[in-house]
Amino acid sequence: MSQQKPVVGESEAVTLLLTFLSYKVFLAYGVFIYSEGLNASWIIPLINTLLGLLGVLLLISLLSKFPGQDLVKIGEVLSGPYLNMLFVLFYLFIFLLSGGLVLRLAAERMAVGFFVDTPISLTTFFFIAGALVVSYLGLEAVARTARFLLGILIITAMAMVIFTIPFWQFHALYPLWGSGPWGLLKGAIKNSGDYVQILFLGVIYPFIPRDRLKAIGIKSVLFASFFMFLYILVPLLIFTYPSVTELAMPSIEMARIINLGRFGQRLEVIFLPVWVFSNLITLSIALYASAAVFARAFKLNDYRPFVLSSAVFILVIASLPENVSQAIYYHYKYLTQYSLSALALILLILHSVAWIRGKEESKG
Amino acid sequence: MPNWKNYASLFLYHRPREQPSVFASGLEDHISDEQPAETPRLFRRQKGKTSSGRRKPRRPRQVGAKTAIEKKFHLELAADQAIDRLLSDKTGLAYSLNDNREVLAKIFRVPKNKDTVLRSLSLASDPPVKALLVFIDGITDSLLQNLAILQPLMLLSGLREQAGKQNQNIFELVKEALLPNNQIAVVTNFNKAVEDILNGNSVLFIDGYNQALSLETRNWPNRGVSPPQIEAVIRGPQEAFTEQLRINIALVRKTIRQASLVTEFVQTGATATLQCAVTYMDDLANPELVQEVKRRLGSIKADFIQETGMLEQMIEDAPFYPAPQVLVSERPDRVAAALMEGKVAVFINGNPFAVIVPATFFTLMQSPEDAYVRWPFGTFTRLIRYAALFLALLLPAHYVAIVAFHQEFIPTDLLLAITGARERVPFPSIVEVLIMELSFVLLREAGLRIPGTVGTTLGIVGALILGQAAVAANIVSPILIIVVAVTAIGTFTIPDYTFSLSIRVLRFAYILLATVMGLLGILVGVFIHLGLLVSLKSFGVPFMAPVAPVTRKGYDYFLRGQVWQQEKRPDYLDPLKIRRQPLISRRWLYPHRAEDKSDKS
Repeated sequence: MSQQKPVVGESEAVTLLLTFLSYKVFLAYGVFIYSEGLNASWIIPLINTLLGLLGVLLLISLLSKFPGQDLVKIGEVLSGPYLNMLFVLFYLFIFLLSGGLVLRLAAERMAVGFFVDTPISLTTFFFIAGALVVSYLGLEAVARTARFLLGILIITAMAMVIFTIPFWQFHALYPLWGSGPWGLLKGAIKNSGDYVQILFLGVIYPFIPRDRLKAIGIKSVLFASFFMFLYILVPLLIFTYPSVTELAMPSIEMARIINLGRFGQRLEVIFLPVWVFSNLITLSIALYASAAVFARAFKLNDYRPFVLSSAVFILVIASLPENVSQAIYYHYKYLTQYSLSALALILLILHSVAWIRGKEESKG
Repeated sequence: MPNWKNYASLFLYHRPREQPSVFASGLEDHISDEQPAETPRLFRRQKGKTSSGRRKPRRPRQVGAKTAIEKKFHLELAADQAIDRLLSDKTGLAYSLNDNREVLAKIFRVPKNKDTVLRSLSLASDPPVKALLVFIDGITDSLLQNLAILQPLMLLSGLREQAGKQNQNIFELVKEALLPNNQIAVVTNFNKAVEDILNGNSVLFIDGYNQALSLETRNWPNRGVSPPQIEAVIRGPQEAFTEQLRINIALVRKTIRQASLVTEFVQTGATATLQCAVTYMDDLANPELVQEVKRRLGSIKADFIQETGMLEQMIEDAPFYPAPQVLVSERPDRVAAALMEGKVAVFINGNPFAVIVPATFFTLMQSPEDAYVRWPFGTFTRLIRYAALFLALLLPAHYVAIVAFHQEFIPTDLLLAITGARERVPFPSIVEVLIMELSFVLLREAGLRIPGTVGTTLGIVGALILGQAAVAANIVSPILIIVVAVTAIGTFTIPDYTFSLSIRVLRFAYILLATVMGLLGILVGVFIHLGLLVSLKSFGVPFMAPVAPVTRKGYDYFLRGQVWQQEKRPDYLDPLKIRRQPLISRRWLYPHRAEDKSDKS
């Protein structure tokens, strides 16, 4: 197994995509969804699942035409180097922005919850250092670390939900249709970018079992959508609408209210590993993905020289927002809103070119 | 004058170094070589569809289909199966001595196997008759062989005169009159001959006879072999290896009496060469693993290597990683169990330890006794051991993090107790912890070097200094004494000595991380630590297998399953035979299903 080309198994690939898609549930997920869906905000992730599935199927159909080739290379084959450079910039934009905003939001969360007197730059440094080492070790290291920690992440995430059951108020779900079907659909389309990170599948495609491509893509979206649905529904049940719209990070508030008798209070420390590990894995993925895209765009075999430069980009992006509210807003504006549509547009262009060239080829 | 160029090179880009891949199949993440070529399928028909565009029905998986390993090593497997058939069919001996020699050489993997001796001799008859004495070196009495077998047959028999006088049956004559052994049996088939040889007898074959004589020469090493010092158990064999290479191999052979147990000798080093014995099961161990072990051993060029610890440093995959990559054992039963899984053991002449490769995290956390007690207790002990690992590695760091950063995380009553205990201590928590941890390391080191007769004095001094005086002098808090004591106990619970050493050192790294950034520091440390461990490999096998990467898991990696459930060998080793026992191994439960299909699988 000491080979140059990394190999990632099905469960590892699903874990990577699941973590990369659902990292937001532990950060500021739902802040804008609640104001769009009102009492029925829980329906928005369900509609989003369909959009996510459509996006991933579009990507899978393109990838499966080019066995063993990643999205950057496919783009170059189909659209040529100049147009492909624009696509590459979009991919980099998604990965670097995801990494930068995760870093900022995670550091803000630590500063607010646990390190009130510590400078945020030190927290940021610790996060980026951890992710840098693991992403430098390679895709196998990132995938296997994520797979190793998956059990802890899922158990802790579910425990956070289960321990809050005594606080659930089902009347919070009424009126059932919230802002109405059209409002919900509009909200779902607006938030469809929650699934744009599925793009990572196009980067790791050469290293995963090719015959499991479809299963990997679909499973990842479905598992991620389950957690997105849960982490929209549960805060709504606990805090009810409209109080829930005032929470910047609903999951931290969920952890804070858990109370298991006299000894079992202030249990948010139990959930600290899930927050830290999920953010570290996401950062590692973002670092690896952006370095890999850089390497392939420059036609280099080794991604490692770009890991440090990607880390610098991510640190710069993390420093751009003036405060946590701005970071949340940037995440919503540049990632959550419509970014899946942009990806779909790229995929459709590539599909069309492939179709036209295929037709010409068959005529020839 | 330091060589700054060397330091500067640490910050420069290095092209990744490619190492030979040892294992590739069996892992979940294996991308098969049979995958379609990497050409775009854009202009070709979609895979899985017929010419009419309909989807092809999925082909059912063939029962008994060959695995990648079976395909790759089909010649070796065919040879092994032929030997198994020959033995199980109780094939009779041949009249020709050469034929018998050839078959025996195949059964005992000679000349690869250096344990088995095929000694040719000529009986002192007229004309001389060729004979062959077969035995296993190390488990037979060579003096007895010389005096009671070879000397009478070759020098003192007077066969020449007797054979000239009368047309006598030489086989009968040898059996009745020439061999002064106390026990002699006539052997007519290979199965019995091999069984006797493996039990320490010497078997004499005479040209022209389809029979052989099994002569009592066994000399198993027992008593005089001391009990284990480091890997002591309550149940199980109480024997440990010695400094004699031959005795060590004989101790393993005493447990595994199989002809396929092969010992090869490899010379290691340059100036003072060292004799290493590479031991493995020829019908189980992956030939590529064996080859890789021999390659690494044979290619070492060093003046002086005399200990397994030095050898370990020369053959390990990643010298800078914080975990041992080989398993070192002093127990013959543990080595035998590892060999039966498909691993390879290396012995060094003059050293009472065996190096077992490859090693994984889960094997380093196992003790031989886990298998010797009933499964609930074995499982419970393992769980306790993992808890101990957590405490040994992270408890002092958590103490520092909570005292320095996260006081709100612990319940109020406990917080008051800790604060009250620390009230009179003038140091910050990090200083307090480092004082105690370093004192403990000092005590441990002194305890190793101190003569046994004054050992108890050190215990008293240590207990007084650490336990009482330090608290009374307000240098440390009583709670910290508990933390350090629990940490020390946790460290001693880790079964592998080298692994526990690495945990001891890493503990300080975690303490420093906790000092700087509290629990976040610890968690980031754990993440990096895990990242390093999952990318670590021992002789090509991922260190964290079968969890990362995910492979087919048996019932004996994290918890300890029942013995009858452990039907397969660890697949991350890619052994030649994956099945250890049939699906129904407790036949007495199903007497009517004796000929079960599971045997065939």
